[in-house]
Formats: sequence, structure tokens, C-alpha cells
Amino acid sequence: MEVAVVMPPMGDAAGDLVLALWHKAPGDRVVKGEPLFDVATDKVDMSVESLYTGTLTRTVCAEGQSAVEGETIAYIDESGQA
Amino acid sequence: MTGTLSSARTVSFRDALREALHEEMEADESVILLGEDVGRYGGAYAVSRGLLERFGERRVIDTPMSEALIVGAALGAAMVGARPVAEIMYMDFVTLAMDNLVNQAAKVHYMFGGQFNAPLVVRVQQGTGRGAGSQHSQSLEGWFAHVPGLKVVAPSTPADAKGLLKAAIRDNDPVLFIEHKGLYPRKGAAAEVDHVVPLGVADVKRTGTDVTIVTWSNHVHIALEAAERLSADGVSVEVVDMRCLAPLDMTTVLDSAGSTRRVLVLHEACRTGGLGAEIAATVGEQLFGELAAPVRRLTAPDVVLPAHTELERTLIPDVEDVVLAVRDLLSS
Amino acid sequence: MSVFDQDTRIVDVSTLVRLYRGMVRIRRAEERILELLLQNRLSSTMCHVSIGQEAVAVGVCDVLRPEDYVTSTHRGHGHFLARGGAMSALMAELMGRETGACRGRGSSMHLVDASIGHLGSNAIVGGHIPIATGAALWSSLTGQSRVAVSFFGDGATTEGIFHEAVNFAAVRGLPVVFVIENNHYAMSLPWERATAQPSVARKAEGYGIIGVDVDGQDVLAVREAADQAVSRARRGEGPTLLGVETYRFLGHSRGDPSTYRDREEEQRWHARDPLLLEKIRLSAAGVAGDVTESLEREIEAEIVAAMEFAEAGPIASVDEVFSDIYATPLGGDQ
Repeated sequence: MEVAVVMPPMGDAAGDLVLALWHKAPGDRVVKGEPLFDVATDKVDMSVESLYTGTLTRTVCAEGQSAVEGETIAYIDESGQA
Repeated sequence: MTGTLSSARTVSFRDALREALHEEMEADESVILLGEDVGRYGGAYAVSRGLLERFGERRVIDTPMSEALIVGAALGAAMVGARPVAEIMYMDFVTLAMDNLVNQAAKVHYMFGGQFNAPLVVRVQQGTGRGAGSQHSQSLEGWFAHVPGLKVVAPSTPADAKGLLKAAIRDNDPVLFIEHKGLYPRKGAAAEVDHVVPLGVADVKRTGTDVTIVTWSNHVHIALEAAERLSADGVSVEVVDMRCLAPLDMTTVLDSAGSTRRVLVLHEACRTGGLGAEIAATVGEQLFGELAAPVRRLTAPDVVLPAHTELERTLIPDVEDVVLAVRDLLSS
Repeated sequence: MSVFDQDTRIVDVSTLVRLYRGMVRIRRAEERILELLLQNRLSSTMCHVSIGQEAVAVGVCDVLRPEDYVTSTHRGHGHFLARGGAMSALMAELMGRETGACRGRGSSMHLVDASIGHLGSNAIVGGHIPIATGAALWSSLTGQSRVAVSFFGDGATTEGIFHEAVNFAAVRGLPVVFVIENNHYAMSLPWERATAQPSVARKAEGYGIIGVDVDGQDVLAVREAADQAVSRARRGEGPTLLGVETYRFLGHSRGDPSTYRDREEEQRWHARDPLLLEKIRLSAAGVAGDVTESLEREIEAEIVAAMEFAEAGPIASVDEVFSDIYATPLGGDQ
């Protein structure tokens, strides 16, 4: 089953949430807890871990693009996972 | 206003504040920063990021969580030669330093017969928009504008933020400097070195002929957006950005109100006892016979702010609310 | 009560006389101020005297240098005079004259003199503790050797700001001496009902700094403890809590009959009047009675001259009542 990965909120005074870096590429296996992507704001840069185990099927937010909090940035297929 | 705006460069509100701190600290050894997390962390809102590295621990002081001490010690240092800039993380937390600001800093110069000055700046962050909840979102500027001896500043643009912070640091009185949490990432024209905006002078951010909107801080941008939408319908709105809330530049407000004859006072703070009441009353007293309609207030209702972002959003006047209020004002 | 062995204190006779003189000066001034109050000649209704507590102000201020700082309380006539404030400025202030310490605006509770580092008496209990701490912070940051002393009562130790300021001074090792002038009553509330730890020395342990419990009726004991605390601060060894045990002989203010106090307790403390104890010491040191009589006459002359100065001064004018709200006025409605 495919789940959506969303841009998380980054505190109460951050500006644009820019997807700085994907640690995984589409097709890669992802384990819950490992770094999935980095977010850069004008206040802070943070690494964000995956909440799911499965396969990163596609990213819909490219590196350097910004997204609003709650916006879907990728999908992970959890099927076949124990 | 001195200095220049650089049209080529844009800068965020946050970075503009940092430029002001940096330049004033470079220019004057007596300027120091103190507060919670202002040093190694770089400020809770990253305003002082890099300043510890540049100026060292002697001038950028991380304090314990002690708001009363932060403001009180800033005052003591100010009385004997420092120009401290204290940071309080949220306006809500200034309540913990009320004595130090209201009974002490505001009174020092007068009560002691002019023997001491209190040249300190207290920077605070306030406002809604991020679901920060009942104890992290209040707009309390009206309380402090009510206290003779304090100056209160609430800029809306990066250039004003820089110019006003520089003026506040150079001023010999205690200044409460209010930064809206929604403004930090907002970009605008950069101000160059020596861009100093005098305290106590409002700024007409948009000229118009039909209605005057008087507002400050983040709501300047909401007013400007509403003005843009109304202009499509042929309504000409003038937007007065107060910038400084104590003292109030009523001359600029009355000049604008006298020409448009219709006034909307807009703010994020709740209604009762808010500064909008003071401005509306003064316009009414001065221009009663000349106004085409009673002065209107558009504010948050008298409510405890919920942390729920959607609930919060419904309580704060937005662009649509302003457009409706202006139309209503024009039809009366 | 004193941590110092009386026999080990070696001071010259001139110091004994100077300390005694300082205390008599405060006592006589405040006796005169109470008269003025009863005659309705003061400009304000607020007036708190420190009769019985003079040894604290005199003992501490005696070891300060001209460049040091002091902050004080609503009961601050003694601190003002001991620090070197002019009797004439005090009387003129109390009588509402433009020539007073605060141009007639502060009255009894807001005495101040920038020229002697007196950063002001404060009418908010504990409100000035962070001001002294901030002055000490600036002294420390700029590498000066100035020490700040904050006088406050036992009541201030139960205010939150006491904790914030002492903690900050302790963690940064600031040159400040916190003088807890413990007169055992926060208005009516006795010390033992305000705190479960009556020892200031023990309180200090919790902050990781030195604290001392001192007999506040013995001016030499106060002076000795203050000297050590101020010296430590000046050497960069951080703050001290100085718990000075004393007693106000009169009510909280003129309108307070002190019904909450035991008369026997009052008698016990009166028997340890700091002026009396010092006079006995003077006598033992061979100081003749004509010395003390002559200093009484000098002080009386100083007070009379100060009253004349006050009465000759212009009454604070309503024309000036709006001046100095701001150091830098900005137009508008101000």
C-alpha cells in the first residue's frame, strides 16, 4: 500500500520550507527511522527521518523546491513489509 | 529618514534585524545582547545567528530562563553605561518581566529626576498565524503603549525593522521592539548601512483617497493586499503603517483621515482596550464633524486564542474581512 | 550570631568614631523626618524609617569605594546617607523641593544620587535586585573593579526575582553583594513564617555561593563581613549573600502600631540598639564623652542647615511635571 510523505511543520516562525536534499532515490528501499530528506528554512536546516519502511516509489518535490507544511512530497510503498 | 533603500537587494525581516544588530554592535562597544538562547543557539528565531561568533561571549550573553532578570539586569547595565538589547522569546513571557519593564525601566528617568537614562531595547516576538496557542500568540502592545516612559515599536517591513531597531538601540529610553512571528521570513527591499528610521513617525505605505486603513506590524501586509483587491473595483485605499505605537504619530493619521474622511483601524490584538480604541477615539475627537462615517475597528474578538490553526485563523481579520469592512465603511 | 570573633577585630579608634557618627547621623535625621511627618510638612504620605537598623547601612557602606554601586529600598534614608548622600538633598526631597535628590518627584522611597553610584531606592520589594546585578554585569563585562551592593529586606527573599538575580550572579560570578537586611518582619509576617530555612548562609549553599549570617546590631561585625564580601567580589570571586539580622524599632510605617509583635521581643532588641552597643565600645576604647557630644552637635547643625536649604528651595513646579518622562521626547502628544 502506498503512503504519502508530507512536508512537516518546522516551528512557529520558519519561512519557506525548501527540500534541500533527498537521501533516497526512487526505487530505493527505506527503513523507518533512517534519514529520508533534509529541509532548509531561513532559520534552521533539519534532517527528517522516514516514518515508514518500504520502497520509495516517487518524489513529487524536487531538491531546491519548496513545499508548504502538510503537502505531499513523496510516496512510499509499504506492501510486502512485515 | 536617512540612508537609502537598495532596490537591487532583497532581504528577509529576520536578516534585516540581524544587520541592524551587527552594525550597531560594530559601531558601539556598549551594545550587548542578552537573553535566552541568543548566543550558541543563534536566537530562537535565528535573528542573532552568527553574532556570538563575531562578537564573543562578552557581548552576546546566554542567560538562564529568567525573564525578570533579563530585563532587570539589562536595565541595571543600561543605567551604568551599556546599551543592552534583551530578547524575550514570546510577548506572552514579558508578563514575567512586567515589574522590570513597567515599574522600573519606564520610571527610571522621571522618578529619579532625570539623573539616569534607561537606554535598553527589549525585543519580543508576538502574534498569530502558526497555531502557537493561548500562551504563545498574544498581541499585547496596547498594555505597553499605555505606560508613559516606554516607547513601543512594531515594524512591518525589513527596511523598517532595520531602521527602527537601529534607532531604538541609539535611543536613550526603554524601547519595546515587537517582531511579528509571521514576518521573519518575509522579504523586502534591503536597507543599507546607516538606514535609521526615527521613532515616533508613521509611514504611509500606500496612498489613496477613499478610505484610510490605520494598522501596524503584520497587518500592514493584509491591508495592502486588501487595498490592491479593492483598487480593482475602483476603491482607493490609503494604508498608514503606524510603525511606532508609543508615542503614536497621530499627526499622520489625522492628515490621512482628514483627506479620506473614512477610517478603518485594523489590528491583530483583541478589541477591548486595544490600541485601535485609542486611535479611533482620537480621530473621533479631532475630526468628528468632518468624517463621512464613524471610525470603524476591525480586530480580533475578545477571545483566548486556541492552538488549533484553523480555529485561530477564523479569529484574526484577514484580507477578505478587510475588503468587507472597507466596503461597509464606504456604504455608510 | 556573628561568625567573627570580636576579639580578633582590630580597628582604630577613628574608625569606631566614624561608624558611630554615621549611625547617629541616620538616627537623628530620621527622628527629625518623623517630626516633619507629624507636622504634615512632607510632600508625600509615604515614609518608612530604619531606626534600629542603622548598623547595616553604615557597616556596609563604610567598606565601599566611591566608584561602587548601591541599590536600596523603600526604607532607604539610611542607605542614602551612609553612601554619602547629602542631608540637604534628602530633606529637600522629602519636602518636595526642586533641589531634592529627585527634583521633588521621588520623595522618601526613591532617593538617588548618580554622582555617588546610588542607583536609586525602589518601592517595589525586590525590584532593584536585578538592577544592581545588571550594574555588576556591566562592571564585569568591561573589566572594571566596581562592586554593586543591593540592600533589601527579608521580605524580598521570598519574591521570585531574588532567586533569578542571585542565581544569575552566582553562575556568572558577578561582583555583587546581596545584603539581606533581615528585620524579621515582612510588614507583619514574621521571618519564621516566611521561610523554612532562616539561615541565609544555608540559602547561599543552594546557589553555590558564599553566605554569611551576621549580627546586624553590631556595626563592626557588619563592616567585617561586608569587607570580606566586597573584597571577594572585587577580586572576581563572585557574589555573597550577607544575611544581616536586625530589627526595626518602630512600625512598618507611622501608621503601623506593630500589634503583631511581642513587647518582650521588642525590649530585647531595644537593649541591643546599635548606637548603644557602639557607644559602649567607644567608651571602652577610651573615647571621651565630649567627642560623642560634639558629633551630636555637628549632626544637629547639619540637619538644621539641611532643613533651611530645603525650605529655601523652590517647590517642585507643576510646570515641570511633564518634563523627563523621556530622555529623548519624540513629539506627538507628549
